Amino acid sequence: MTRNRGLLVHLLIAGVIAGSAYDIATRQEHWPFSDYPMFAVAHRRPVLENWYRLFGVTHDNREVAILKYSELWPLDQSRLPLGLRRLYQQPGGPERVRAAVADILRRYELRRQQGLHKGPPLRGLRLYTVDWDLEAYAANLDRPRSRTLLVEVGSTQEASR
Amino acid sequence: MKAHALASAWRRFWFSPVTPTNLGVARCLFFLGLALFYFPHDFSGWGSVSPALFQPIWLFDSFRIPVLSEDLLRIVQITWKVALLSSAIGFMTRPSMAISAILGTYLLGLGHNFGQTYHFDAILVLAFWILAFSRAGDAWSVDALRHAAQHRDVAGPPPNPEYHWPVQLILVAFSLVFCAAGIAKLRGSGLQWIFSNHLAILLDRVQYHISDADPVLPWSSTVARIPGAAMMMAFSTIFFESLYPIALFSRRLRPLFVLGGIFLILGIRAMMGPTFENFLLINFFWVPWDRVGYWIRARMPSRTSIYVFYDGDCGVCTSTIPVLRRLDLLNRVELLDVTRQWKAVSAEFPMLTRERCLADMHAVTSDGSVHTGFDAYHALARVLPLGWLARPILHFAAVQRLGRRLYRRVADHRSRSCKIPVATAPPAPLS
Repeated sequence: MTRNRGLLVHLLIAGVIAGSAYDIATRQEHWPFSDYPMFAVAHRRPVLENWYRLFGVTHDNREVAILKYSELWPLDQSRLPLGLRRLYQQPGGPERVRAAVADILRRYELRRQQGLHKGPPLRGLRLYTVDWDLEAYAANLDRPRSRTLLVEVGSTQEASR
Repeated sequence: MKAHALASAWRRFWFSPVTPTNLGVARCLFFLGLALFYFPHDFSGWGSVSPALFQPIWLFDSFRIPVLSEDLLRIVQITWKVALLSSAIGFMTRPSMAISAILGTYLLGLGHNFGQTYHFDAILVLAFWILAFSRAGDAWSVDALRHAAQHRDVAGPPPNPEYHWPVQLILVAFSLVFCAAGIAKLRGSGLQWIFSNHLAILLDRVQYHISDADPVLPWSSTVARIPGAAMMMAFSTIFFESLYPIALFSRRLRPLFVLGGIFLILGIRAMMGPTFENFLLINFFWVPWDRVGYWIRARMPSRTSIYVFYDGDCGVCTSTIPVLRRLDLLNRVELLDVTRQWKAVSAEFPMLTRERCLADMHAVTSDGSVHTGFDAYHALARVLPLGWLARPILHFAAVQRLGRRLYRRVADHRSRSCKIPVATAPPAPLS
């Protein structure tokens, strides 16, 4: 190994270790370095609160939860609610969330028409924040303790904008 | 004195000279696994997600990396997947691994800009970059075979520190991932993480479709209600995560921690949902593939399955021999130079004639049957592990016909690349 090559390798070793150690020590995230905080905070009460969930509104006014990856692609049932919640809490967030939800509806319908998922046709989307008291195997998934409507968008409403 | 000992330990840990086998095999399996895993994955959708959702992570923000259009993303992902495959087979390995690193960082990082940073792929990106700077293509690669053919290099590269540090660095980074997760839990919740009913609550929470995928096994809520089960799982999690770096230093405890880490990831996927499967591919770097090879060879009966006869004065033949030697992982092939060893060959194999052996490659299998030309390669494919992959294809009569025609064409024109011309008269048929 030449001197320059040795230096490069040592720099790489130092970079990987220092990057990881820095994020661990400072509890920060600089992807691909991270302090890996998933599941780190202990839950003390058997509840799931303030979870953002999208419900589709069918043409006969039924509400259906939008959960499947194929219906949300490339987003998913974890990344989307967390992203929407973070966005909603920022200044000017509600308007951005409305735009994002309208885009999700547009993509949902487009992919449905292309046969890429088997979800029902929707005339609108509603974003709720939902609270559950936990039950085994989410027996009360359709009966949350409470839910609050945050944003509603409709395909005709969006089209007329 | 202490500094000297420390420096020596540092050198031993990172730069002990080793053969290229472990790095080469792990590279091959790692990239192959990734190519298969990501083959059906379509990243192009990010190109059309509403910019309202775009919340850039530091990497994309600092370097002002844009979100490409759907069409461009399709091109980028095809290029990346091809680079993963070519890194796996070791074709143009260094550029392939560099492309894998650059495009992989972009594609895998892209989704994290839309709401949430997942942790499934961070270690893969670090591994890409480490491998991009390594000499992982020096063995178990098409490049290594081409080098062997060009330089008539039968032995392969000698032990070198260059083959050790990349493996060590990937494993150090991997250990830090586990350790960080353990520390985060202890720091965030203390021993409450183990001794409260936190994990039982978590096992119920994931039933509400809050992870990127739902749990594979429908047992989570049942396990949550078995007294002590969730606490036991929580203790195992903290134990294996926090102490995982021990695997780097203790050869005796390594299997325990590596298997513990694998079961942890499988357990998370099965009971909680998050999709960490690709994360498991890093474990290929823990395996001492050279010792696995010795172990397998030691348990196989030592016998020659096939004798291959070649023209030692022919350029094409002598460049093929080092390749065959490299591919003969089970030591089943005996290679004999007809030009220089004819006396011994004719004594042991009286059915062969020198002229025919010089005209076409010959092989004699352990049952005494003689195979020539393309059929000799076909017979070799039964013995060489890599050839086993080709056997289903070689079985077809059409492929055999094409192979014989191709071989004939190369053999009849090989005089151009050989030092001596091939025999002008057609060889007499074997009796």
